[in-house]
Amino acid sequence: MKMMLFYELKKMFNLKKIIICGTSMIALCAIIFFGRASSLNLFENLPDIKQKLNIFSGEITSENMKPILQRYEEIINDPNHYTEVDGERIFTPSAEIRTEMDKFEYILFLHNSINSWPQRMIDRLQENLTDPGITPAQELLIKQNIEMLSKKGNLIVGYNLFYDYYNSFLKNFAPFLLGFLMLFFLAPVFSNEYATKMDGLILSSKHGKKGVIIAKFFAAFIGINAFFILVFGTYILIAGIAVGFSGGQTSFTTTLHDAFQYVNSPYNFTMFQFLLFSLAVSWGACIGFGVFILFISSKIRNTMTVSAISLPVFILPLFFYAVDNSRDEFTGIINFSYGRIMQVAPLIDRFNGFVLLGNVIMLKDVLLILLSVTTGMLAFFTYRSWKKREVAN
Amino acid sequence: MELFIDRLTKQYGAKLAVDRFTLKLSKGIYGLLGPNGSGKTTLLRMIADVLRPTSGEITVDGVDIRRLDEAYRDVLGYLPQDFGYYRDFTAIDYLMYLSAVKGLKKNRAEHQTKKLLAFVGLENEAKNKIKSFSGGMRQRLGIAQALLNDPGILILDEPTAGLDPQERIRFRNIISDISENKIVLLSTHIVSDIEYIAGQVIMMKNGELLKQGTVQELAELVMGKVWSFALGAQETEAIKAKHIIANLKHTENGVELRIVADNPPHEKAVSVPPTIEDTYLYYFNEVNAL
Ligand SMILES: Nc1ncnc2c1ncn2[C@@H]1O[C@H](COP(=O)(O)OP(=O)(O)OP(=O)(O)O)[C@@H](O)[C@H]1O
Ligand SMILES: [Mg+2]
Repeated sequence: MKMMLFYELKKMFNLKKIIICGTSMIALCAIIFFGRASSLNLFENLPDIKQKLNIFSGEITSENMKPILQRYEEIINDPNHYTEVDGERIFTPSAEIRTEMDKFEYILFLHNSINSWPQRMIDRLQENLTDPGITPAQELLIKQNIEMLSKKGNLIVGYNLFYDYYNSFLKNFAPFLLGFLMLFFLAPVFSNEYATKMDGLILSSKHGKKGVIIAKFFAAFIGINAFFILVFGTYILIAGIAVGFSGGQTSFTTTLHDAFQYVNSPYNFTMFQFLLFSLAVSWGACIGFGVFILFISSKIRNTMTVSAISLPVFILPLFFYAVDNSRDEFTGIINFSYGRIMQVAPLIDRFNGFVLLGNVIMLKDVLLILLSVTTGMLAFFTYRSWKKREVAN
Repeated sequence: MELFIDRLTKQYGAKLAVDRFTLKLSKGIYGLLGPNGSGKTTLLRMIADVLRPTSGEITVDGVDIRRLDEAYRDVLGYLPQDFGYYRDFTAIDYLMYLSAVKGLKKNRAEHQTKKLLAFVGLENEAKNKIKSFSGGMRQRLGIAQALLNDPGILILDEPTAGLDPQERIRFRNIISDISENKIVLLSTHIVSDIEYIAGQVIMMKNGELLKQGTVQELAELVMGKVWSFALGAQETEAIKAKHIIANLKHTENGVELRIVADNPPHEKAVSVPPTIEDTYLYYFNEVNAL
């Protein structure tokens, strides 16, 4: 088995491919990070950002926020910061005061908007519950949503810029890089055996129908893990070194650049938990898509055709989502796709569930179960289509 | 060991590529002769367990090869007519990989690889990539891989295709050498490949088994039907149009002809002893390449 695995890996990877793909992935991760960093003037602003995010660390409670609110009010109420123009009092703080206020801006925003958001949603949902036209299923869902939201608790804030960058990478770029790597390396796994006419030789050999499949799956598994570590590892390392890794204990709804992305989420993660969860889900989707590619590859002898079929399956949902995510029924459907699951957001960014036989089922769980089941089935079908392959051309 | 092919049939749409083919093989070399499209490759693929028969079965000592599964393929060596390779693999990689798939342990794989590369005269190219090989070298590599697991049943589909005459002789000797205690079934449409080494010759036409016997027995099938005579160049043209020409040689006194026909093609024709090549021509009505 070890020898078979070795040669399967040798077929999948060669030094040239490894060097080209490895360096270009590292370069792309760097470009993606520094591209975003420079468009946000990260390095110029880093000291300011740090101050802004560090102005207060810990749980947002009215108690904890008192000194900040006090200071803010102090400034607002200080008559020295006002000038009289044509009988009107206009707020004209000094540049120094202005800078100090800028630093409060983000924490006040978290305090006023994000931290109170769940309670406001709960209030709205409570109101919906009083609607006389409500069905029992809707009622069940709303109650479940309220229950989850009420567990959310206060935000925990602090300097967590690393997670901000991780988040944006996860949603915008990682699926594309991983998808490309998997297509490039996994599409030929079976189809190339047909195309090179090695299938006759392999299938007439002792372990050619079963052992080879196991070796191929194992090699693909090693490959997918390598891609995953390469892509996320590189980016995490670059981002972490550039901005620091801290912030794992903060709430996952407190990113500086896109605080609203998970604001409706009924789940309650710390950033570090979110990192682990999202990596696990992304990884699962990678395995799923990898097996999907292997399945297509086991059916088709032309590697280009394998890619031509697998690529749209992966890309189109991401593309459609990017173009138009306003229609719920539509995004609901495309969320059942490898690329969208790899982005993780569709699983947890809002309350998404339905009622089955009187029980509330979360879409997140359905997606993950469906992913596992289809992956298992496709793996089995791949095995069958190789085993039952007829050499006749 | 006995390999029994029982009413084996393969149908492609309306086309019967192999039609109720029945044959019993025990150790020895079997030459499968047939013109293009007669179903040799289709038959051998089914025996090599890479193509499912439409009906009929193949058994080894009474057990269906599909039941035997790995145990059957463990004793099988197969050289497809048109087989593949990985361009970037060296000869050693190739044989080591196929050894692994055939279930050889690493030590034995290394030993067999080295031995067989020498056996087929590729020891100096062992570390070269296969993409740099000539057609004949690839063919020899293919023969080597079929022997890796020291198979008891060796299926070779046109193994001499692409070999030059010298290599062809070398190949014949290799097959003779290793055939002891093995069932060797090799297809060809080149009579001379098997004339001297095959214990049994099977003639196949339109998917069916046409004739089976020793070289001698098959040659005798056309006893009294092979004729030889010399003619002037003018007359030859008329004869050529009507008869199967086994040989034609221009000499000082005109053209010397060898013709396979039921009746004397010319008053000057004399009956001569037949060879299996004459039988091939008689039944397949095709001028043999080489
Ligand atoms: N996959 C296929 N689909 C349809 N017909 C096929 C297929 N494979 C073979 N045939 C047909 O079956 C017949 C037998 O083909 P086969 O390749 O077995 O002949 P062969 O004796 O090996 O010929 P050759 O000497 O050219 O190698 C031919 O008529 C061929 O066209
Ligand atoms: Mg053939």
